[in-house]
Amino acid sequence: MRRRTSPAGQGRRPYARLPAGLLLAWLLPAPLLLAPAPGRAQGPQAPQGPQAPQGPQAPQAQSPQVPQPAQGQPAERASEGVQTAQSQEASPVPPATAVPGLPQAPAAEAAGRAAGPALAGSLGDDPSWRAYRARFVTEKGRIVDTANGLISHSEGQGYGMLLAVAAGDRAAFERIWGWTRANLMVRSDELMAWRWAPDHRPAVADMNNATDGDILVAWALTEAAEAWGEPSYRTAARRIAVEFGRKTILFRDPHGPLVLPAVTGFSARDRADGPLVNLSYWVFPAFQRLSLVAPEYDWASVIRSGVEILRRSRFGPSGLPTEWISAKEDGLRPADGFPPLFSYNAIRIPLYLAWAGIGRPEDYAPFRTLWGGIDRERLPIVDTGDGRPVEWLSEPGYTALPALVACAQDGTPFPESLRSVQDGQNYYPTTLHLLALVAARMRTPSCLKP
Amino acid sequence: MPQAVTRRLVAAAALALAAPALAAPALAQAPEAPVPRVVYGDGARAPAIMVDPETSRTPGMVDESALRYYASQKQTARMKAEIARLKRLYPGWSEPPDLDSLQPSPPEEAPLWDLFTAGRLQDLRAAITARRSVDPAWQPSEELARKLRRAEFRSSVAAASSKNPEEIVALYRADPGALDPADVESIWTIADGLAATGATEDAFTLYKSVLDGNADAGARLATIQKAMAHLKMDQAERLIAMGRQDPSGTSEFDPIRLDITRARIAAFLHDEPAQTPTLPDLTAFQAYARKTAEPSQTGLLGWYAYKRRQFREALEWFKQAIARGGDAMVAHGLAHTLRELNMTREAEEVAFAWRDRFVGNELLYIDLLERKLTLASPPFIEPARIERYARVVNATASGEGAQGLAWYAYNSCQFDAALEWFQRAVAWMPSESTVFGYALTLQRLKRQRPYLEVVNRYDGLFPKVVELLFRESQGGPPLPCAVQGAPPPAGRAAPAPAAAPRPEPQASYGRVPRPDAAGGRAEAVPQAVQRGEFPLAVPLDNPLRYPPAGLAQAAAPGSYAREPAAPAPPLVARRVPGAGAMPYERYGYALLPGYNGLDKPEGLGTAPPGTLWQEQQAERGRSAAPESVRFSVPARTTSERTLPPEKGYP
Repeated sequence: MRRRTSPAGQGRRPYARLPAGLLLAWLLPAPLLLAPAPGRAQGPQAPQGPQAPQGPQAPQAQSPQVPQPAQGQPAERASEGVQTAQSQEASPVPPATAVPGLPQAPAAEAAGRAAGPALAGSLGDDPSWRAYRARFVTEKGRIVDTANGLISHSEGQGYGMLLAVAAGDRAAFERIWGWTRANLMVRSDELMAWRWAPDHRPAVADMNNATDGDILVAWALTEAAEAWGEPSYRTAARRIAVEFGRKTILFRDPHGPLVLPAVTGFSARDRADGPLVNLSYWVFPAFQRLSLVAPEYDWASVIRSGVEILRRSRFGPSGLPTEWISAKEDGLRPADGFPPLFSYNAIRIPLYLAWAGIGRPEDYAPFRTLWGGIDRERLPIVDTGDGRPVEWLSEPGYTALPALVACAQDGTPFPESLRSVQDGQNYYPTTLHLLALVAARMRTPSCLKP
Repeated sequence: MPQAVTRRLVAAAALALAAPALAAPALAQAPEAPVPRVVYGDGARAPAIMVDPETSRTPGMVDESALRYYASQKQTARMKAEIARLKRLYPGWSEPPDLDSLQPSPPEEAPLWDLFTAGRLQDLRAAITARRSVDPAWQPSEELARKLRRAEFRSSVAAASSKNPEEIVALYRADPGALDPADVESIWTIADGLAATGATEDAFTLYKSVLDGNADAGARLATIQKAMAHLKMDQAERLIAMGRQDPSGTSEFDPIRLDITRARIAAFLHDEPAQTPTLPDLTAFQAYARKTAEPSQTGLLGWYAYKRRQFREALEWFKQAIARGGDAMVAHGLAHTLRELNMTREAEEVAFAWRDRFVGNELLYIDLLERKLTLASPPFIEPARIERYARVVNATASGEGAQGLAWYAYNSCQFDAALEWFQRAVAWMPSESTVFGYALTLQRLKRQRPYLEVVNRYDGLFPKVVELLFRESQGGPPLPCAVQGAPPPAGRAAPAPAAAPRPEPQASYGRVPRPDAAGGRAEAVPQAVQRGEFPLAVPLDNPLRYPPAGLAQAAAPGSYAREPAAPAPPLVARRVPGAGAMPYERYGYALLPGYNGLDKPEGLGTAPPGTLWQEQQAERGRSAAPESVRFSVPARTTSERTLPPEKGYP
């Protein structure tokens, strides 16, 4: 287990979500989206340069004082506010209409029976989390991808928020979320810019989103809202979930709902072999919980389509899915312009399956075959064309994934060496290791008994 | 009731509601049917009736065991008596055709049949194994083997029925022949499981097998309800079309036509193909909805009208549903209906009152007022309304609400308040228009250093923000409030907004050009941006944070990572995919290539085909309605889950 400095595996997680082939699509002319978000502020009414004022504006006498946010507002006047407002309205709402009726189960509570055990607290007071925090979570709340030029991304922020909830560390959660929204919520919608590089001007490197990052953050916010009853987390979770449900999920695709990896670059219009999917963006345990905040979507159908696509994406002799898959035709195939690899992304597929407690034994079979061989100390990156390893992921944290699968499928106890996180590894293997521990504690805690 | 209750839930609830009504006639006709009995024919040894008392109650399952036993023993008189008894109990039933060919079971099987009769299937299995270990050539009779296999299958299906549908499906797939075609209960369980795991055509085939078989009327009705609960409605419609019609043309499924209508409405709300409810059916459903105390039914009609854009009708239904104790989703429908009817003030009240019960109402409340606050000509808004809005915005840490308040404050010359709200907005949602407003306010307040810091921080990302440095005038045309004097002191009663005629401020807005700009510069010469203003090396992360009020600041034990030491911040911006062209590019200044090599400005493109977003845009295009996409309406919700299943309808 001392391979952490293997030159091949160490850190070089190619984070290029947008390969060279994609650039062509990106260079197509597209209208600049500088207008404000649909439905959002119709542009500031601030002066816009040399132009006539746009019609009569409200006289100042009609603009009441806007309270400054710092002022503590007494909170008990909520119902009174209704009355006050109504008394000044020409056509008030009948009180019977506006005022809630008899006490009943709040919708959120009703939806609280969403499938799946809760994440919060599942990590307990694990020293591994504190070690993780001290190594990857900055004081400002940024999760540093130590193997990728110390950049940050929405995926890492989402993982950090999930782990903070699992560890019951609310202060850390708020820090991470605070940084995330302050630095990645720069789009004109409710999704996050996916990539942030600390030494670049501007630090946001790409306005496109990464749908898995959005999903992870929305899920973490949902769990945090459940755990701590913080309304602002629920509000934010809903904003994000409704938005990626609307903008990146093709609910009516013949394959079943498809998760587009991003708003831009992967659709049938963007690519000749589009739509493209990445199976590791099906964060199955998230879909089991998002009905808490966005009940209008059929999340169960998203889970089903992911499992179905996995069953139909057994490429080559190894029967493994590639990172990027073309869902253009009825038959799925490795996407054009990408090496047909089972790699950094796709190793998360069995993690999410086991974490959600779904899938049949045969769904895990190709991963178990791949990981059950003699080489248990590193994971192969496989060329699905010939089924051979082309590279190895040698940091020990990665091997928590095979351990989780063996635990979920056979009840195999976690190896002692994997019950806590080893120092000196990079962001990605360490994160996957902690996530696998959380998944095991939630789904099959018996594997972690002494 | 949501616009579309999950169809499954609607139908499941409907099934629960309808079940007593369906079961009642069958029970009345067959009082002894639910009592599990064992009938012994020939002395003590012969078993006759299926053993599982749990499932022998199954409505629609005619127990032919005794009959088959008598037939196999060639006891013709008893056989005929049993046929008569079964026909009396189950009017639709007719005897199976294979009675003549049944073989009598060998006498030595008597103890095994006893075990079977007693339901001791495991013991029976063990006894067979034991016998075969002594006498490998021995086989149980075909009849016993088949019955055992089916009984085992039936009990394992029943045991799995409350569990993962995958397990049920796996059981079935492993041995489809073990499913007794007359075992309606197991057929339902398996079909439900198949549908839940996506094998809807197989599920359809199983439901259809019940209709093709000899099941009684109650089981046939229940099959339709099961199918409506678990299949897409167009599949269920194919089953409904199989209904037998009496001479007057009435379908045998008429007794559940309310359920069918409800399922058709739900399918419409989901944009799923289904028959349109006929006018008589719809009228009947409306009458039922009026009569019932259940607000979800009136609520469903509200969403049905809403979706057909019959907003006046929707309003009536939603109001009725609220009056009957409708939940927060009904209120959500009501608020959206009011909004569509341009009664935004009322919509705001409804959404506000119900904000705690459904987060969607809270967001609707925030968005409704945000729109007004950011209108080009903002309407008068009472101080109390703004105050309560501010409280909600703070409690929900809403960037949308914060920038709404900020713009409203800005446009009424309350710059200090605007600044604080913009700070929150930028902490929570630093989009281009929010950062622009923040920078503008800083500029107006002559907070030069923070202003420059913000503009430089977003160089390369937000052209409109950087443009602030490059435009001719600083500050733009004066705001009406500035022209007309100082704002009123806080708390003073505002004059009635609508009655007072608006002043005509345009005349006073003539903009005087600044002297150096008026001299007529050459087109391609950059504006005089001070060297000390741009580009500046500034910290590139956004430091603003406004955590929720309730958060205990006590840090958990342990520490955080240090921010990695960075070299001096760069002065030249990189191209960011999805950001527009920077204003200085028109003077020939270039940006560094983006992280992916991109060297030309490029937008983010439009809605991907196949998304709901694209549909909404197309719809908006057709109706020429304004962009109101944030007011998207849920397509389905879970509120139906709160429906108490014991509540029946008349």
